[in-house]
Amino acid sequence: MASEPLDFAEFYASAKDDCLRAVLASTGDMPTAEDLVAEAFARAWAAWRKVSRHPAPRAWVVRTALNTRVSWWRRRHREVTLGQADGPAAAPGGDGSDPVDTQLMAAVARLPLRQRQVVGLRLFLDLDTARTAEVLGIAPGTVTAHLTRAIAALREEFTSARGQEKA
Amino acid sequence: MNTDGELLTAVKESFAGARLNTPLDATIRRGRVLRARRRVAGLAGAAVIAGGAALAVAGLLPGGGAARPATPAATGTPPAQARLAAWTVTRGPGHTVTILIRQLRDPAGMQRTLRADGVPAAVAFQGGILSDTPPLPKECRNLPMSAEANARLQGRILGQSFMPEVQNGIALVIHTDEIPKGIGLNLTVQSSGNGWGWSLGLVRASPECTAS
Repeated sequence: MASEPLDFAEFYASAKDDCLRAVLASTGDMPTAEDLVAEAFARAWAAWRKVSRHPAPRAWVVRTALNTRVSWWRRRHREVTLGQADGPAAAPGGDGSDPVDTQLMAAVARLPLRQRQVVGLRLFLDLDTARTAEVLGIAPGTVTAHLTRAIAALREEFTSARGQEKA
Repeated sequence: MNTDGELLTAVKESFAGARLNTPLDATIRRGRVLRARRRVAGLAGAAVIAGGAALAVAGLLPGGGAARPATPAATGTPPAQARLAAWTVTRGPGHTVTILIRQLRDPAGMQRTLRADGVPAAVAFQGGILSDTPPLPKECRNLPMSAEANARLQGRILGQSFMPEVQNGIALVIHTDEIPKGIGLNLTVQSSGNGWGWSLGLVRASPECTAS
């Protein structure tokens, strides 16, 4: 039991940003992605005995975040813990830097939902096709098809954007 | 960016600045709340249920404590007592109504106040365990609306700053001008020994549910 917080802390430190990026690719909205991923990590902590033995804990977190999003669509809720002093998380890029390339992010946001999810899981969690299929509950062949279509759509966007820049 | 690999690398790098800023201890605090909720929910026993019900009733009886809800700012009447009100409903600029709750007392009074301020609302207070999905009142009906449209509308109604910080309580801001005709709000406020929560859902406005 004594090692539990340390293990979770290590996992949190190493996985939180990649999980955020995977969910951000799906939601296209930073505050929502932050809320969802923070909630998913809290659930991971609450079920850490199980999650720590999961073959892909990062995938567990992202899937939980994406599933949570569905329920949040129906009802918004907020909770505060007594004695909680921290306010809203600092906005990314608070130092003045732009946290994401908005043009590329917008291109990803224009993809259909499943394509965004596949791109997020493959790119940011480095999941293989089989694990991505498992997380999303779809066939491996469908994952491949979504990724192929996503790459084609992104390439078309970049080609078009470059053409406009030259013009 | 000639190959698929280069394209995906560029996409990946474009997200590199996105970082989760939630502190570890905040995540663990929230995890403790979730774990405690799960444990309590897993206990099947009449004594536990009865205890929880007693706690809820003790906190919910209208007029059961010294504090009273403040009269809404719209009436211009100051709070009846100097002590902190159990809750306040305050009109603000830009068609906003700020709801601040410190004690779970007199939900019917808050509901009346909100309706008087143009918010078609059904309000419930719940003691005990915080729940992600409080029950919909039996007199209310969900909206026949897609999940995404529902989420967008809730986002507009709650606006950007939908959780002002409150010491020992909780608050939310409603943008009343974003509530379409025919739509009402189902607001549930909850409190347990560990903290506070609110949950907001959209419902069909009706005389039974929202008196509108």
